[in-house]
Amino acid sequence: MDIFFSALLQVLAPHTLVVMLLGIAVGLVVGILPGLGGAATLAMMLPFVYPMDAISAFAFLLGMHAVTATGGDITSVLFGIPGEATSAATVLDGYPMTRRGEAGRALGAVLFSSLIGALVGAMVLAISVPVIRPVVLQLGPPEFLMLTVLGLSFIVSLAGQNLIKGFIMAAFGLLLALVGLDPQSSIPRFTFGQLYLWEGISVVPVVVGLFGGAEVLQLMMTKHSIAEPRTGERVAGVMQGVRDAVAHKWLILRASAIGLGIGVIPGMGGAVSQFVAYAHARHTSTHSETFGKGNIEGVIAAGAVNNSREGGNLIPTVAFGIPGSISMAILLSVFLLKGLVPGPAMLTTNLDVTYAMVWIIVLSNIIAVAVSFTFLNQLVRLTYVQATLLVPFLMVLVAFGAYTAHNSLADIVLMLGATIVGIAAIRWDWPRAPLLLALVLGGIAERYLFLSYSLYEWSWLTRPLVIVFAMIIVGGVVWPLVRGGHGSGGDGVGGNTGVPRSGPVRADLLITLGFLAAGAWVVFQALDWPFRTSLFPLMTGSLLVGLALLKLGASAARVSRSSTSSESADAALASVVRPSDLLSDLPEVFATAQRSEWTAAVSWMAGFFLMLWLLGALVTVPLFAVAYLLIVARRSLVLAGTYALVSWMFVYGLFDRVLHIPLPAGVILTRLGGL
Amino acid sequence: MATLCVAGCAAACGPAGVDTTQGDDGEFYRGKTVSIVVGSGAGGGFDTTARLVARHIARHIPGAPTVIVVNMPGGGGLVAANHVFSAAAKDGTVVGLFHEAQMMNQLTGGEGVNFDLRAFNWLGSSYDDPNVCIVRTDAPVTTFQDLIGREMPIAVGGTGPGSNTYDAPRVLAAATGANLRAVAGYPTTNDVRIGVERGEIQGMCLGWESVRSASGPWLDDGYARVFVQNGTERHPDLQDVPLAMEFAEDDDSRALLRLVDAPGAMAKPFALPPGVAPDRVEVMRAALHATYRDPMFIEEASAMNLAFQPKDAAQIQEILDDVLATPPEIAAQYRRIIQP
Repeated sequence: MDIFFSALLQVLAPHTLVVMLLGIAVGLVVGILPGLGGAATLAMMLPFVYPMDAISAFAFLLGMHAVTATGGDITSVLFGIPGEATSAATVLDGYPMTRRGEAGRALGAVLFSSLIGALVGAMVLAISVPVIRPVVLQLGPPEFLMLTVLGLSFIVSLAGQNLIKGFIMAAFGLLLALVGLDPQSSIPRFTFGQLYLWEGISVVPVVVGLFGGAEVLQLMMTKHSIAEPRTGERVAGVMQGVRDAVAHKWLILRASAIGLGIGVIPGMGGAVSQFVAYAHARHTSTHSETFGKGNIEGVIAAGAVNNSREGGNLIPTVAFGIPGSISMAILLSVFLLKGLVPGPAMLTTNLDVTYAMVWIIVLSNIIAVAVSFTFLNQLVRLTYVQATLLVPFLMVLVAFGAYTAHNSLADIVLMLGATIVGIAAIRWDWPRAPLLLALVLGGIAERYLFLSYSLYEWSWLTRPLVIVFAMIIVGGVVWPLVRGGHGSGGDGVGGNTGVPRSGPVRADLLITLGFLAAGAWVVFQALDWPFRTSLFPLMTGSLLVGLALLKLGASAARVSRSSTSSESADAALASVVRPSDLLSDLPEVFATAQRSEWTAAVSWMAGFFLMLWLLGALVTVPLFAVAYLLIVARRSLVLAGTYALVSWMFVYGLFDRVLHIPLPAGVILTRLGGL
Repeated sequence: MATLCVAGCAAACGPAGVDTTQGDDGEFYRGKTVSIVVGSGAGGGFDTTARLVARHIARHIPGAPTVIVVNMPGGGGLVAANHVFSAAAKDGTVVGLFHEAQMMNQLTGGEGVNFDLRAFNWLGSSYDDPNVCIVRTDAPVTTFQDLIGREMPIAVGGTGPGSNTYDAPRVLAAATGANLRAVAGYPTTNDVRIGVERGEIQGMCLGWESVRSASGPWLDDGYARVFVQNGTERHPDLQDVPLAMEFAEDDDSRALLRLVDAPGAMAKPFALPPGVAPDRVEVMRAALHATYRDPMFIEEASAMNLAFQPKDAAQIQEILDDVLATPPEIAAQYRRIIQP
């Protein structure tokens, strides 16, 4: 116990505290910027820790890494652009709350639950390091596979009102997960001759496009602010958010446990745990139908899980010296650099370092949340600013958020593709979360299925934990049906399929036909491949074809029905949208916008990315800002010029000079320079 | 018209033409930024080496430029290798850190290879990193000799075809008759290590440098041991460990084993694109040479548990000539063996 508190004193030593504060500042900024993830920042900041002692080094790096999720959640709530891949689920309910003027409440809830999540994670780290080793060694590839399937079973919850659309999106996500070299034979699948696709579709550009890109276009078309100021919001709203979080304390604990549990398992990745916790919140909520429209429980679960993960991630790193993620691998190199050997010695001779890490997580999260609360009013006010003023800034976030994944223009192309999917999904009410969950989990499921088979053939099915997980999965799927199937339950196929409208029906038809064609093409492609390469593509392609046919059948049945009884459709609408929730009155700009508004917004967006490709970032960012502010926002030249200058300094200073991240150079300028 | 112009430009700056306008006053690099392109993401072994070199090499380049690391992951280093070979600037400001395993890709006619190894301006390689196999000491068999012709296989984990964690044990087994079973599908080598700890596999094969730095405690505690090494002569650290070559069945087998060894002999090599002016190539070669011998560099490397055994450009060229002269039928056999 003495060591526990002397470790705190070591962390509080002035020189350690100062570097920790610096680390926290960097971590918050990196968290707020999409794309620029925690791992890349750790790698870039590594040189700074060479002169430091071990505890200061961890104070700097761990302090930085522990708060990136907090910063990421802030961007997700305010702008609908996930600041980190691990903050994507925060968008789902956080951003709708912002749209209805409850940004303060959402931020209060997400920050408070983040803090509690982090504290739970740190506490478990402190007590579990001595005992965790045998537990983690019980979990091998077969158990990972079952956990992945458990995660996939949450698609039922994420699909929401429209089960079959959700399943189709999930099947499409599974297909995307299969792109790249297959994990068994290294045969390229669906790569269209592009080396970029060999490593698979990376999650970050997809997340940024699916959510962020679509929201930016929406803002360009509304031209209103993101939210209207509501009287009594701001501080009162923030406190309301904190009270909400306290009221859902058990949800916070459960979400934290999920973050921890998945964090402990090496190789599962952070994006998975957030969606699992979010789906769990929806699964257990009594208002599951309002999820995705600004349900505070969704925000709270998403906030808690990604901060509790940090403690979980550290457990195998400290206890075995085996990192569960790239970030942890970098931290591990700091252990070695400082002459620390992870493993049993971390509990004996180096116990002070272990406890210091616990304190660093605790303190850095408290400080980050306190700092965020201080600036909360300013942050919330940003959402009251006319959207056209934010657009050039948000374009930079979206573009570089995607680009920093591989420093490749292909990242931007992928992000724009995801943007189109995101827009269509919003416009015609196709749920986006199942696609993302399937994209993240699909590849892992395939990998661990074949790995389990290679190791044990089919005898892995009889492992005790596999059977336990299987029972949990079956129970989780069956339980809502038994309970009476509120919200997402239903009879499965085409049950409560939401609100039929004539426009969406026609569009849905076309989209479904597209999925049908894609599924058929995939099956056709996969027929030529060896068994291990083709099994998952064949299954997923057939699944997509089957679901699409089912959807077509259901739509056909509904069209014939709704043409005779439009009143029943209204009744269905009334039962779905209860008068008490303010959720449905979000402006549906994609549905109502004129053709000219579409043309203008899409042209500006296309113009930005075309310029980025031709002229590079350092020309495009200020030029676009000036043009957009003068022409669309109709602001003065002075304001436009200042904005352009500041954004240029931001891009050049931060990315080019400080972080040394290469920016798109522009093909024309490269050409000229080459001559 | 535009197409014509682009085609013309590409031809003018293509790998064939040496840019003769690069007169060198010895101060070319002052105020410039030199990028080291790494074919993998931040945090891995290649990235760590590149960042370590980037922090020290500027002192040894006249004009002390800023040196940064650019991560360009994709295709196991293929994207970066193709980029450095043709698209990157040819003025000496772009250096590639080459994934040496791509050597096999060129030899076996792999998909997506748009470079010629012999045309790069090699600067020097970082490690002498022979592939070795380790096995848990509580495994039923712990010597390579006993594994040959054994009925029950020893399972070693790997990531997949194209990685030496998988290819090396496949070739080893084929060339010596040792009953090694390579299991593919682990996401990273760290996951393979956990698999060894869980006991579902008994060992793994990878570069000696990685074993030493990441699994050093295993060897020190007697938890695992190195039971075979690839290469043509025993590594100084591993004088007691037999070479796979000693068990080879015939000349073809020896040729296959030499192929497995070749990439490790020039691990993590730096290169300038083809077409860079020769005097700049010399400047960078000298700078890398001096960096590897710089006491500050060596001190930092040893703090990170890294020991460099650099090779110079001539030695790299020799290895490449040797490998690329492999008879096509051996190359084809190699390709067959590594298919699951």
